[in-house]
Amino acid sequence: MPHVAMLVALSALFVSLIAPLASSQTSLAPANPPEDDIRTARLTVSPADEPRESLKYLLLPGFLDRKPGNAALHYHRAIAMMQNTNSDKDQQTISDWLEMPLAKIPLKDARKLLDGYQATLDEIHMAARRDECDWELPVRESKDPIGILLPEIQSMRSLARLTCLKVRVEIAEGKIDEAVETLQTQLAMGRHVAEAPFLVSGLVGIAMHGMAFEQANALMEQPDCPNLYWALTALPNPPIDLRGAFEAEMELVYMMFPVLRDVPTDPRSLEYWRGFLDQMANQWALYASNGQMEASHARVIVAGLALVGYPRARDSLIAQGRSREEVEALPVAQVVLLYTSQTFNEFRDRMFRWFPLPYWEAEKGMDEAEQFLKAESWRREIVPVASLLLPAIQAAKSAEVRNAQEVAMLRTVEAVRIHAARHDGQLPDRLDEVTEVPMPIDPYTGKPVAYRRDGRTVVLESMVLPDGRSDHRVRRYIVTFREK
Amino acid sequence: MSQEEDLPSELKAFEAELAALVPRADRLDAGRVMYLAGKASAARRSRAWPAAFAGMSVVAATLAVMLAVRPEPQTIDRIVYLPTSVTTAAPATEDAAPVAPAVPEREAPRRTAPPGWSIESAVLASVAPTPQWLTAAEVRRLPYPRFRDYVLRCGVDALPAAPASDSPAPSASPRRSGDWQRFLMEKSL
Repeated sequence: MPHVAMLVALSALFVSLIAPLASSQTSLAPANPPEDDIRTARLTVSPADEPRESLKYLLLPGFLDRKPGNAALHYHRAIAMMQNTNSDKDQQTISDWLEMPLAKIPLKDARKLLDGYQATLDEIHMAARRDECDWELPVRESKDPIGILLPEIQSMRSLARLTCLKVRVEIAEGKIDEAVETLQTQLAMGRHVAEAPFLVSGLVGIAMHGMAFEQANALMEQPDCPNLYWALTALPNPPIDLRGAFEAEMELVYMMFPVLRDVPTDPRSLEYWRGFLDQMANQWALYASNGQMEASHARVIVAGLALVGYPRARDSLIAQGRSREEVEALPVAQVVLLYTSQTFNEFRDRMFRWFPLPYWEAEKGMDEAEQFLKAESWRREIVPVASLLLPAIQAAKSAEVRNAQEVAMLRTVEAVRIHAARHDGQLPDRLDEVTEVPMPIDPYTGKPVAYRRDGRTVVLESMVLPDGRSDHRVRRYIVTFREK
Repeated sequence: MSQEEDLPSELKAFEAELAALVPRADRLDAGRVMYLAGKASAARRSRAWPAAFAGMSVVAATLAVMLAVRPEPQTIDRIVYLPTSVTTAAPATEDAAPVAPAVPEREAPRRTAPPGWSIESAVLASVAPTPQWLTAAEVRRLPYPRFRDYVLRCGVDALPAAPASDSPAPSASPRRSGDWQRFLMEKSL
């Protein structure tokens, strides 16, 4: 007996050592990310007052610089020209020079490369100065939206890289006015790309703006760079508005499942509903399984789901006020499809209603809507549609706000430059000492950015989280000011 | 009989009582006596092992319950930004031409962001620390909702780059529309 007890005790010891290791393999939760993960820009700038003509510099083409017409036509011409002259070697070279510090870019070679794309750059310049941009994508008609969208996005990114290189070369050459004009082109391009009715297009446009604002950082570091406070203030807020894209995304389910758009409420024949459900099953299989599921399998699955979910759908319609006799007289498919459409709309509206609000008002609601979808969709949906099609709305909204955040940070830097220029190079100890121009608010929080000074260096932080945590929303600028 | 002294009366009574006593033969067991003696002489037994057994059994049972009822592991979306360097420009100098770069693969899945772009976001799952970017062909096959969610998760950097022209670059690229006209006329001759 003593030996048995000893063996059991040893086994218990072994299990108690192994169990924590086993559980840690699959329930790893990283600790708070280290502070290094905060997106940080480091600049060295000089004090500079606003220009005498406050709006001398603008970051989007002005009214008189723009012409009527559709920018998309010119972008397509530029894309065709670029494809005719572009090579993998050039693409790599452009990428390398974009990564390189300004001082190390071989300017003669960079100019020579840019000269080889002069026709393309001229066409891009024209495109950015058109009043409108209508890509005329047949998204409502096509069965292959990505086939339409992806080539446009890929090509516009190539154009953006080329334009970005042009800005960098102009900055390195000290050509401030040309660099500002090319920044106008870049920012206009980003807005034009985002005109396409897809969230993905908006994200690409925002990424293009991100590249442009990085070059704006490089420009602001030049000792003779003019103050861009009012140029940045004149930008639309947010610089790229995703409302148009979200309007399209809201209707995405009806583009993917046209049968759901007008589910008849009057009695129809069984054959009619059988065909209806078959169409739904085919489309659902396409989007649920990337087209790898057989149509016949999908029909069986959807029919089975419909049968199992019918009582829930019936009870829901009765709870909405229809009589039991009326509902039970309808075919199963009709009841299920009506319920599916209503349930999807409920989940969708619960998420999308928060989008027009400022981020600090919408954050909690968006988070709750996403949690509600995760927790309830498996319970309430009969055929999973909402869980397949609805986007991560918080991530999308955050992308839009992050773009506006960049402008707010740059405006704050420029405001401090103005203050320093008017106070003999002295930097403010607190941000509320800057009274020369209005201070922007942090689009994440609705409050001014956090500010602290250490000698000639100021640190600006947007979206400061409790306990020093960091996530993708936090942004930091560490700005060192030269003496007057 | 020897001559006995007469005992006092009280001792005679006591003598009579003692004589009435009969020894019990079953009260003494020699073997048992020896056993008890041996047992009493043995060392006191340790309770350490039973206590350890009980303790570890409780620990193991508790961990087993925790393992059974633990929640599903969560995928933590972690945004990673690779800084692109921004430095003060020195006066333009003539530098040596850059080393000819290697031609990038078009279809191979990328595990790092294309240069020139800051990474907007990358998913760092607890069991898959490397972002799983898709090839151009894989992206092309995605239905739009999945394509959109892929871009939201992985950022625009995960999109495949535009293919460069398959034809070699002309030795003299036209720059102006007049140049294009001459270029096209030359090509048509």
